Amino acid sequence: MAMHGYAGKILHLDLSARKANEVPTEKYRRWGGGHGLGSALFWDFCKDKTIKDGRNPANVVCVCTSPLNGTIAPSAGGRCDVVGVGVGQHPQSWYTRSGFGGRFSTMLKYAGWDAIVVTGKAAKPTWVEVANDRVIFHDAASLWGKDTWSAQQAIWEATGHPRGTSAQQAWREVSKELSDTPSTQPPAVLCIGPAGENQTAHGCLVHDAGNGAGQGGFGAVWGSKNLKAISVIGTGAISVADAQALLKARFALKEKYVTSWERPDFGQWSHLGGLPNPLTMTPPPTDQRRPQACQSCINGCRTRASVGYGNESTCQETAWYISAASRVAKSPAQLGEVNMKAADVVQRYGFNSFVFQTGLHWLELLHEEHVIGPGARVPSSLPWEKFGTLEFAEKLIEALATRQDIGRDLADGWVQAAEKWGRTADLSNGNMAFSYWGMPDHGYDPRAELDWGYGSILDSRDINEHCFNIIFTNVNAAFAFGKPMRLEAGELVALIARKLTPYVKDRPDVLDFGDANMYSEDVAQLVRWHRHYTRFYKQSALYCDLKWPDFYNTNAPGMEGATASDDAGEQVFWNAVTGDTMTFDEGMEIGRRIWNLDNAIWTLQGRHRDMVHFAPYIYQTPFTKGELYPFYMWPCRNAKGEWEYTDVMGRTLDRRKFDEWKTIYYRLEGWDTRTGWPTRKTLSGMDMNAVADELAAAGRLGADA
Amino acid sequence: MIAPPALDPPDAALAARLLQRVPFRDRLPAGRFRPPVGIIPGDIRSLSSLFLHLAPQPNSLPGVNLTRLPDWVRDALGDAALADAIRAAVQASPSHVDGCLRVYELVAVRLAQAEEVTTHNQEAARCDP
Amino acid sequence: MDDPVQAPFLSVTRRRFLAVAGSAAALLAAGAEVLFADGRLVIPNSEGFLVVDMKKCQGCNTCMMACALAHSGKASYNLARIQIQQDPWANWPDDVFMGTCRQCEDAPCVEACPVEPVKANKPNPDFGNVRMIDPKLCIGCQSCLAACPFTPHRPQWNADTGTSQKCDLCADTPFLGERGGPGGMQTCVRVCPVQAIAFTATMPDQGSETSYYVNLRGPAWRRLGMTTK
Repeated sequence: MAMHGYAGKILHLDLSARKANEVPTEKYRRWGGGHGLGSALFWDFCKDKTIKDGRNPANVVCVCTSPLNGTIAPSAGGRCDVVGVGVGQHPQSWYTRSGFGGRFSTMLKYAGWDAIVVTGKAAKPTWVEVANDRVIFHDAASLWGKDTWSAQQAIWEATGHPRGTSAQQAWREVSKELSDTPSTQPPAVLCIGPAGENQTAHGCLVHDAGNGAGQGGFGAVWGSKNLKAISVIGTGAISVADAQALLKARFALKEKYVTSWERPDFGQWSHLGGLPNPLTMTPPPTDQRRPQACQSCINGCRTRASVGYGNESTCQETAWYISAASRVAKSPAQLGEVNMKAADVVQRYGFNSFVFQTGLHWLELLHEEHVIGPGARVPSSLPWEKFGTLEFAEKLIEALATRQDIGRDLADGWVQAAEKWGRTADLSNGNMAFSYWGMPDHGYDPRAELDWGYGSILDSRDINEHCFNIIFTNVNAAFAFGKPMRLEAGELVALIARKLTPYVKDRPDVLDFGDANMYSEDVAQLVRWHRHYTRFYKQSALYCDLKWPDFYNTNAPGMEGATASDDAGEQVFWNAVTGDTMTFDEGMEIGRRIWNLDNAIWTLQGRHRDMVHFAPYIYQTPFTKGELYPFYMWPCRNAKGEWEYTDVMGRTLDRRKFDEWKTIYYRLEGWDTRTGWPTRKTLSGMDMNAVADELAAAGRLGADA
Repeated sequence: MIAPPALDPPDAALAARLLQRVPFRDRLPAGRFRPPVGIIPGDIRSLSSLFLHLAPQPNSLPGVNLTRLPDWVRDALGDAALADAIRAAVQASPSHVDGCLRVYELVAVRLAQAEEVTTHNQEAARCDP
Repeated sequence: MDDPVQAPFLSVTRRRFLAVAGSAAALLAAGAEVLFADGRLVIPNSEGFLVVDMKKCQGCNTCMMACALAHSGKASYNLARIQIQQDPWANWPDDVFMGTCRQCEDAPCVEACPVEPVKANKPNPDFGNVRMIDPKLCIGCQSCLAACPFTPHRPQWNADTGTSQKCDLCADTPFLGERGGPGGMQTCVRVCPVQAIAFTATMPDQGSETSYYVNLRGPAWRRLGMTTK
């Protein structure tokens, strides 16, 4: 039976046996793709789901595409989700996920595979070449030790794809044994650098110049399996159920929901309706550049410039060193150059710079207090006197990536290092702003932005989901400039609530993060909606977090966003590709199922509701003005019940009230409120009895209410 | 943009102090907001880094507590006159960004004054037999 | 103008050719090919061309996927009749190349097609003389691929059908839902998020390597902080 949108088979790489096996996708169809597919594969392939460190050989890591990959579904053509047990979290590492973009998932689909499942451990460093159906295990001795760029370029060369700045390449055979299947494209390679090879918590997966699966330490997982890289090239095609409908929807999205080039509205409020703009944290160094995008993106978020650095880097990796560099930079231009070159450093090392979101500040504090340094309690011969220079950045990353100097202790987790160094008090006083599961808060502080904080602690990581955070962006930028709001608070929440189907459609109070509502059933409903939406639409269907959901859109008539719309909603593209007749709500139900499967895995790993708490500082220290940014405006009801934008800075979370809120949340999910575990009643209602059986066998099945 | 109020040049001691970095414990927390994706944490430890922090950028906004800033300038940098000027400028500002721009102008003036005074004194010291 | 056409098969100017072959001109105007006694083939000009701005392309390959979808109903790089190439580590502007069919005036790929009595690859008078390959006539010899003087060669091999294919300005796009060809819609032009591809009815200079590379960057581009030069 044709499976439109799917390649139809999954590649299982058994590294221990050095064998490639084929698994039919059909069995997993109901999980959608991406994360859902990955969780289902993990459930089947991982024989020991109690593991707490991703470097355990029993760990299984899956790299998963969706039916939308390789098609023109807007900003869904090139995303990919990686799942497995992570490395470096605290108090243990959870089954977790990380996404990345570019063209790897597209190429994997065209090669004829929906996902890659990696099990076991190779006897020696290995890289895997996938050229359509052909899979070859290569010795990676010559690649081990190379940075991610050098390794990818070496693989291009080894597979016969030349480089060259002119970039005009002839059609060439993709492999020696596959004649009549030429391509003009280079292979898409996903690889690790030294940070992963040395199995540090910082290890991530890098593809091309700037696509990275950063969170979770999957670089370390690959390193523990002696897997250096996977290279993919595909010359096939993905059948689409209704190409005409797909094209029509794509045109509609661009022409109705995205501001026009001819008369652009640069102040528009929407998620996906802007023009391409690189999300670098310092201004691009030159106007001699282009926007650069993942496959099928509606407006790219990266750039490539003439200057020779910073290609494809965006967002976090262009933020980690700004504060340090501003200490010594003599000008904005110099600051920008050091900053973007520091981005290149982390890309090359395959290093997840997110730890520095708040971690670099903590290291600086420890150095200033003489805890770290030459002859200090934590000896360090890093050139701290050069803090802020590019030289220091390179030496710091090298040390942390190779387990040297302070990297010896930080390599297995930062909170673990804090414990070793006798600095656990920093987690209470806020010096170490690592708010959940041993990882830094994102800046969208749990004490202010509840969807972010609550979602992260219920999940396995900083969620990095900007669905509702777009409210913060639009409102606070306007507030900072003293400009009139494009949408007043009441209007904004009403527009959003229209999309919060099926649970809380037209119930705007779920967005009220004011003091009186922050532990309410309203907010629990919002978090539930958020978990299910992201699990399916963003992490399984693989719509990009930077563009979706589009709740409100000032480019569109009535300012209604594209999400769930009849002409360009998420379900429209899904159905055009797959031939399904899925409603938006049915997609949400798939997300609920995936979220339950993930919680089942966490439950087997040992999760209990008593563990689901933030770092102490979230409860003990207020989120004060100027700590990161001087205000945090959010729509809230005032004392008269009217909606207005309110500053939600200045508060802590109340630990007891948050515990009570969890009970409300678990009840909504149909989980055992005493433990947070899934119940048979809830699981069987989603045709997941086998999952309930395994939980019961482990003595960890939640009791039905 | 309204021209910043005139500031009398600092004396030699203050000028030298304004070009130094303050101890870590005296830092001023500050951040940067990059719509639509992120808040970048950081802090300010010198007048020159405050200047860089407030430099207008097309795609991001400086995050600094303009209410608390005058106290920091007075206590950590020791510049009461600059603190008063900043307080007045912030009070006259209709928005955060406007306030940052006014303060940026003031800091630019003060930084230039400090550099000029210090350079002049260094040259004078060299020439003095 | 009397600049010699830089095509491997012709060494005289088109105008001079027409000047001495009035009846040939009439035939050409009617959309027919004209084969002269000396073996030279002259075909009517295409009424449409794609021009591109390679400094603008964001490398999303939406045009490739959309092209394949509109023509075949499948998404694919290989089935795309426009080919975008990138080197992630190269510097702008040399990091992207856009390979579009030029609808050459004296198309070598048409000349090379050996199929008789009617070529498989020829101008289609129903669609503004766009150079099109009829898959029903194509014998799969791939001569057109070899004849294309550009890299990558602009006609492609369709492994599904066992025939060659090429850009037809969306003349034959059963999955587009709108009329294509010159005067109609070109999928890649419409779908491109940054408007890096444009349609023109004016034939670019056939003697120039770069005449199809144009500047499509306007005030909005400048406002976004990128060069319009």
